Amino acid sequence: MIQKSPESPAYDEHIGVPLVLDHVSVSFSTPSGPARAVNDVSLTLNQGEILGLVGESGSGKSTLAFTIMGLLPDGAQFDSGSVRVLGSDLYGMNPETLRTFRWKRIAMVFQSAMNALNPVMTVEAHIMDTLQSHNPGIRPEDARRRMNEILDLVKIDPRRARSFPHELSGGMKQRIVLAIAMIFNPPVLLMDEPTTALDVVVQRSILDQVREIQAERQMAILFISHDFSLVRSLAHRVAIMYAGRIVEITGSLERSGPHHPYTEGLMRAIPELGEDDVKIVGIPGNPPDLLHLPEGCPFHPRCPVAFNRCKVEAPPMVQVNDALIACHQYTEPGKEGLA
Amino acid sequence: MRFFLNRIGFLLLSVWAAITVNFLIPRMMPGSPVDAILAHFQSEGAPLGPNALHALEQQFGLSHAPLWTQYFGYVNNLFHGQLGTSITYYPLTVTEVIGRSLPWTLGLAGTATIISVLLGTFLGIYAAWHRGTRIDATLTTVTMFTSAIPYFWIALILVYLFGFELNWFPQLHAFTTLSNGVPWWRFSADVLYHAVLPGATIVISAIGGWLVGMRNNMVQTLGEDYVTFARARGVRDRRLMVFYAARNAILPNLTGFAMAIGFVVGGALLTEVVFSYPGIGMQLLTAVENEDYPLMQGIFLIIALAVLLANFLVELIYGLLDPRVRQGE
Amino acid sequence: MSISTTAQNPNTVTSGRTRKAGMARMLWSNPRARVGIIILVGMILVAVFAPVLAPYNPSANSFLPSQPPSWTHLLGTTLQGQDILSQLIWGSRNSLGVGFAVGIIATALSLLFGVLPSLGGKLLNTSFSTFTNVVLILPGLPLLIVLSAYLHSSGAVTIAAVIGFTGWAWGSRTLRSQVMTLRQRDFVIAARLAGSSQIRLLTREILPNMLSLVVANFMFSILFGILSEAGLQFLGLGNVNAVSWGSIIYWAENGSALLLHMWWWFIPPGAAIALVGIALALVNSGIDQISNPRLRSTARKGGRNQ
Repeated sequence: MIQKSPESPAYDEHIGVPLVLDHVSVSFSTPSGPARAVNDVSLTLNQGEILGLVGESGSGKSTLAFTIMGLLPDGAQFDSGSVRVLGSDLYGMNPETLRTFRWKRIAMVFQSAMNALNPVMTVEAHIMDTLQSHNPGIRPEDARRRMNEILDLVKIDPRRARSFPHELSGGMKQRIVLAIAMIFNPPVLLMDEPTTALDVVVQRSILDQVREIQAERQMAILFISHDFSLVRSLAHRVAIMYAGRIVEITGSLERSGPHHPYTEGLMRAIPELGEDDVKIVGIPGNPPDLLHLPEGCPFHPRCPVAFNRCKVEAPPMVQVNDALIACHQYTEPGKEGLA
Repeated sequence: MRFFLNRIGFLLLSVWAAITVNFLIPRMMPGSPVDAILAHFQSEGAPLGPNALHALEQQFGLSHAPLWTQYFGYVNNLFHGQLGTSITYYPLTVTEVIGRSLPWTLGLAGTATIISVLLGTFLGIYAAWHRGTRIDATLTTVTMFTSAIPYFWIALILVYLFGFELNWFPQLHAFTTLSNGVPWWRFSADVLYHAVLPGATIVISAIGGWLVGMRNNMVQTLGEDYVTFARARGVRDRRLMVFYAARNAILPNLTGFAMAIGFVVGGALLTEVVFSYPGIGMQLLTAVENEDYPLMQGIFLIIALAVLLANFLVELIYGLLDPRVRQGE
Repeated sequence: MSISTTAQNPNTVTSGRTRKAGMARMLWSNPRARVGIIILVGMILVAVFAPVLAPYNPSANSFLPSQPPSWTHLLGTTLQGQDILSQLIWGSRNSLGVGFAVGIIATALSLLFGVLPSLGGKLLNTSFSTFTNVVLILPGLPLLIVLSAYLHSSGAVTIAAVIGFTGWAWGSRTLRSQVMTLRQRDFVIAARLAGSSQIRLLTREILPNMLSLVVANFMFSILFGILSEAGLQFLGLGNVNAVSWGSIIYWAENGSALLLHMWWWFIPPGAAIALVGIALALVNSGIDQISNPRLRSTARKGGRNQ
C-alpha cells in the first residue's frame, strides 16, 4: 500500500516524481542462505533535488543503486516492493521496454569509471553505441553533433573521442562516463561513488561540474557515497543506510538536532572546521554480517544508547522535527510509529 | 611498432633455438646414427657415394671438427635449403619428401583445427551466455571428458565404428588408390570423404579446450563493469555478447591458442598414424622405424618452424585485436 | 573522512596452514572433485595390489586366442592368447607410475623455472621467462618422438624423464604469472616493507597462496605424462614388451584388432586412460571452482535483467 509509506506523497500517481522506492527488498542467495542486502527501503527523490545516500561498505547502497537501475547483479533477487521512475514501475516492464526506458529517463554514473569503458572500443564507439541503441536510424552527423555537445559539457576536447580508454587519465574517464550518462538529458541520475578513485583536485572539479549541470537542468540526483562530509557539502537531503536499511532521512545536516545514533557516530567521526582540539571518534564495533543480522534494531550491538526494546523489536520510521528516524529513542512506548 | 619488433625478436630467437636443438640432439644422444645409416645402405647393396657420405658426416657430427665449425656448416646448409638425403626414399632429398607430405598435414590438421577453434569459441560463448543452465552444464561436462581422452584412442574408436562396423567411411589413407584419370572434382570429393574421420578425431579432441577456455573467460568478462555499463546504456543483448563480452574474452584465449599449437600438431600426428594418412606425422613415424635420421631431423625442424610461424601469426592477430598491446603497453 | 570502520577485502588471504586444511576440506565437499579423488585413489590401489588382483600372469599366452569377454576372461584374450584384464591391471603400474613420475619432475621443474627466478633481478627474471616461452612453443610430441628414436626402446624411467623434461613449460608460465600477481598484493608488499627476506617472502607469503595452482599443475602434468607415455607406446617407441595401457593398444593395432572386430582388445586400455584423464579433470575443475568463485555461477541467463 503506497499511502502507508511515510516517504510517498498522499496520491497514487507519481507521474511528476522522479523516483519513488516503496518497501524495496533485495537478497543474495549465498551457500549459507539468503543475505538481505536491501531491506524494506522506501524513499522519494524530488524534482531538482540532490539526495545523498551514505553508508559503510557493505551497507547495501551499491546494490540499491543497481536495483533502481533494474540491473540486479548475479545471484541477487528482487524480493518485494516497487521502483517507480516518473510513475512507471521498473519491475513491471518487459525487458525490451526497460532497455529503451533506461538511460533516457534514468541514467547512472558508475563507481568504477576505470572499468566502465570497454578496453577495446574508442570513446566515440561507446557514445555512438549508446545513441544507436536507442535510436537505430540516427544520422551520423546528428550523432556526431550530439557527441561533441556532451563532450563539451564535461569539458573534454572532442578530438579525444578517438582515444581508447587506456589512453585516458582517471579523471577524463570519469568525465566521459558522466557525459555518456548525460547523453539523453535524463531527468533522474544516480551517481555511485563517482569520485572515489580520483585525487582531491580532480574530484573537486568534477563535483563542481555536477553541481553546475544539476542547477542548470534541474535534474534529480541520487548521490551515493561513503564520504559523509562530501555528501553534506553537495546534497539537499541525506539518507543514511545501515545493514540494508534506511535508518534516517534528514534535511538538517547539523550536529545538533535529533539524529539516529549511527548518524551521530558518523558526524563525530568528521573534524569540524574551525575546531582547535580536533577529536575524531569512530564507531566502535564492526559492520554487521548480513547473513547473521542481530534481532531487533540491527545497530543495537554498536549503539551507545541501546536499551532492552532495541534487542527484540526493529524500530519503525518516525517523524522527528524535519527528519525521519528509525530509532526507539523517538518512538513512544506503546504507540505505533508512522510506518 | 614496438610490439611488432618484439614479436619478430621472439620469432627469431625461437627459430634459432629450434635449429640449435635440432643440431644438438644427434650429437648429444648415445649411439651413432651414421653407423646405422651406413649399415642400412650396406645391407641394401648400394653403398653411398663420397658426397652423400660427407653430407651425412656433416649433418650428424661424425667429423671431428670443433663443434662450432660443425654448427656453422650445418646452419649454412639449412639456409641453402639442404636437409640431407632421405634413406627410406633414397635418392629423394629430405626437402622433397617433406614437400610431398606437408600439404596433406596442413590441409587436414589446419582445417580441423580452424573448425574446432571456431566451433569451440562459438559454443563457449553460447554456454557462458546461458551459464548455469542445463545446456551449459552439458556442454562443459561433455567436453571436459572428450579433452581428457587420448587422440589416438578416439581415432581408433571412430575407425572401428564408422570404418569397420558400419562401413560409412574409408578406414585408411587420404584417397582411393588407382584414382588416375578421374576428374578433379571426383578426386576432391574422394579426398574430403577420406578426411572426415581423421578430421573428426582432431575436432573432437581439440574442441573441449577452446570451449571451456572461452566459456570461463566469457563468464569473467560478463561480470566486468563495462558489460553492466553497456547494458545500462541500452546496448542490445546480441551486441553486448559479441562486442563487449566475447570481444574481450577472446584475447586471453588467443594467447592460449598460440601456445597450444604445438599440442595440436602432436595430436594430429598421432591421428595420421592411425589413419595411415600420408602427412608429415606418418612420415615421421616411417622415418623413425627405418632409422632414417636425416628425414626425422628434417621433419622435426619443419614441424617446429611451422609451429613457431603459426604462433607468430596468432600473436600478430592478438596485436590487431587489442589496442593496449598494439600500442606497446 | 571515510566512514569505513574496517578494511574490506573480500579475498582476504589466510595463513598457509589453515588454507591447506581448508582446501582439502573444500575439495572433498565439492562433488566433482570428490568423484575424481575416489576414481584416482581406486586406480592407485589397483596398481599397488596388481599381483593380488590380476587373475592371471599378464604375459602368459596359454589361453585360447581372440576370445571375447567371458566369465573366465572378463575382458577376453588377445590374438596371442593373453588375458586382457590381467594386462590392464598390471599395465596400470607402468602407466600411472610414469604419469606420477612425470608429474613430479615437471612440477619440480616448473617451480624451479617459474618461481625461483623471482628471487633474482629483472634480467634473470626476463631471461628465464623468455627461455620458458621458447621451450613452451617447441612442439613437444615430435621432440619426444625424435628423442625416443635415439634412445631405442628405453625403460620406463628414461621415458618418464624425457617426458618430464619436455613438459614443464606450461606450468612454469602459469606459476610465474601467479607469482607476479601475488608480489603486487598488499600483504606481500607489507611483509616486504616489514623487512622479510626474499626467501622468507617466497616460502611464507607467496607459495602457500599458490598451493591450488601448484596442485592443478601437478594434476595436469600427470595427465600429460600418461597421455604422452601412451602415445609413445602406441607408436611403438617405448618398450613394447613392457605391459602398459599404451603398449596394449600398440599390440592390438598391430594384431589387426580392428579388422578382426576384437573391440575388447583396444577399448579397455583406452578407457582406462580416459578414466584417469576424467578423474584428473574432475579434481581440477573442483579446484577451479574453489579458487575462482565466479565460475561457480548460479543459474541465470546472461542477457536478462532478472
